[in-house]
Amino acid sequence: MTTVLIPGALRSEVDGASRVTVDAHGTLRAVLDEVDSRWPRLGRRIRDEQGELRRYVNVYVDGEDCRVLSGQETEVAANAEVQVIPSVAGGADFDGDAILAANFAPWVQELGLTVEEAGPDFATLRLPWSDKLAREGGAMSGQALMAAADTATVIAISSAKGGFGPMTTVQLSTTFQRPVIGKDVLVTSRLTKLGRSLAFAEITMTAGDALVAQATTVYAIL
Amino acid sequence: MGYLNLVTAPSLACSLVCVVGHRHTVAVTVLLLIGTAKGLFLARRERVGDAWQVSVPHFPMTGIYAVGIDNRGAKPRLLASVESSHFGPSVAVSDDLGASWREPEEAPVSFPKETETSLERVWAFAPGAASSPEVVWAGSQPSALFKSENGGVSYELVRSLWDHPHRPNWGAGFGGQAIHSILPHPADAQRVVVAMSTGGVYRTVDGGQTWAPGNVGIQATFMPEPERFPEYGQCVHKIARDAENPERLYAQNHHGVYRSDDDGQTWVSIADGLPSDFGFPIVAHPSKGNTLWNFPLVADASRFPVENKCQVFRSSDAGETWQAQSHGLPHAPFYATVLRDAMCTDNGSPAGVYFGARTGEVFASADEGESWSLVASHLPDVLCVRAITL
Repeated sequence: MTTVLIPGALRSEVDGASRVTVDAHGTLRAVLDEVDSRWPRLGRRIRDEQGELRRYVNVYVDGEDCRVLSGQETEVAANAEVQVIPSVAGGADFDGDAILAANFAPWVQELGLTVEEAGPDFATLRLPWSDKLAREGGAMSGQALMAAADTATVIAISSAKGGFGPMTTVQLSTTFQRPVIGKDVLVTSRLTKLGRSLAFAEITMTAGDALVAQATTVYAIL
Repeated sequence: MGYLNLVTAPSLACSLVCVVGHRHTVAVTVLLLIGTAKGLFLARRERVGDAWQVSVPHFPMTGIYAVGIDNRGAKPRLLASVESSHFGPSVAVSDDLGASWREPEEAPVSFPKETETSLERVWAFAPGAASSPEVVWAGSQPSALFKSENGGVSYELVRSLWDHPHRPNWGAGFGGQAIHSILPHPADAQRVVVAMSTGGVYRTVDGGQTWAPGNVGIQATFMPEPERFPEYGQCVHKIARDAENPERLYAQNHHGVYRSDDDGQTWVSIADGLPSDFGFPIVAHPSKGNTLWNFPLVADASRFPVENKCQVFRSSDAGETWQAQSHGLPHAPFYATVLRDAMCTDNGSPAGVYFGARTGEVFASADEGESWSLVASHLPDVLCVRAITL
């Protein structure tokens, strides 16, 4: 049996219960399918008609956000606890550029980073080419790439949590694989784990179609 | 039917929100549905001139993007498009004038699996022709038409329009991509006209088997000069059907106000008598022909009422001439927009006219726009209004 914790706003669909148990486990999808068949109105408030989790509904499996695990394929052990929580960002559009403008040191802002895309567990930033970022030899400096990777992770964590909050970099490790000359760099930070106090991310940096650098990072959520 | 404007009534003590109006002698109970960004408010007035009693919000903290009133049965059925930003869109119905609402277990409006599309919101309801009393239409975002055969409780996608070869080219306006207007022909159940932003007007004359664009004469000002009159792709904001001549339609376009005299095939401008051809709502009189209202804004790039004045415009000659109507509306500079569904009439005679602003004010006229009074203020953004006399 799997226990499903129901948020206050949806309890009217289950006669006021704060938790229900369903006879399904294995994957989160199997658990939600069982929720659908027993309480279709509850089910369609969690997933849309194509079976996708609604953007502003978060589902935690034993305390971990399923979006940084394997989504609906996340394993659900027997007797696990699945918690449905409305995201704090519901009703608000996530504005990564506003977070960039409000929370970073002036020299980071001078990099001209913009948010291309942000999702439940990732953010992609564009680092525009500038001659000012070139080191001796004409290629983009590694310092700029590292700052972009660090910044992209802040946006990814903010997007996942529905807004900016205090956090700090604990570790950032970068490998530089190809020089970048005269091209913008797309920096994608993907969260591999978002816990209560630590977040882990993998960052890929590409220019054109070529991978130019990769990084891993650990953040402390304050 | 005549009535008198007498004295201002004293403030009423009540637990609901009350707005003091004028005391009249004619008993015409009106129910006004006010859909807002944070729920549905029901306003009720027993007699012309009485204060409006405004309910607490139904569906609090949800956006009510469309309301509908189906007055064909023994008692009116109310329809509401309810959208939770967390838990998605749905449709609820009430058969007791809004006291209680119900929603089916299965999603009332949803896209079939193979479309790989998810409903974002329902934008419009329209009861079908009198000869098909169980038919209710719904328009959605993304642009699609749905048909209910059970009085609006549950709906099915109209595949013929969804599969239309033009669909991949329909765009999205600032508010999203949606079918926002549905005008069934009152006497011919085979004919329905819809309008979408962007895409423009489409019509069927064979009960929805085939659909053809009907935008001849409607301008797309956002296109380069040689392509300003495309076959389709216009950003039509709202269309309405004349009460007496069902072949006659009116359109408020993204710049342009038009009339069609051939059930939406071709259009001519009726904007000359207006201070601006931009705006969102257009509303036809419920029973009198050639009579309509709109709420002009300065321009696409300046979405303020003309002269920053709260005023509606009425035409009584199918758009040949227009008159400003602002008696009783605020004198102070007014900057709020009136959204495409935030203006309506009731079914009374004389007709009541209503509109709400994004600043949460709602105004009513019991005399076809000659004079206005406040229904409510400080509500959330008003997204839609619909009214019925009981």
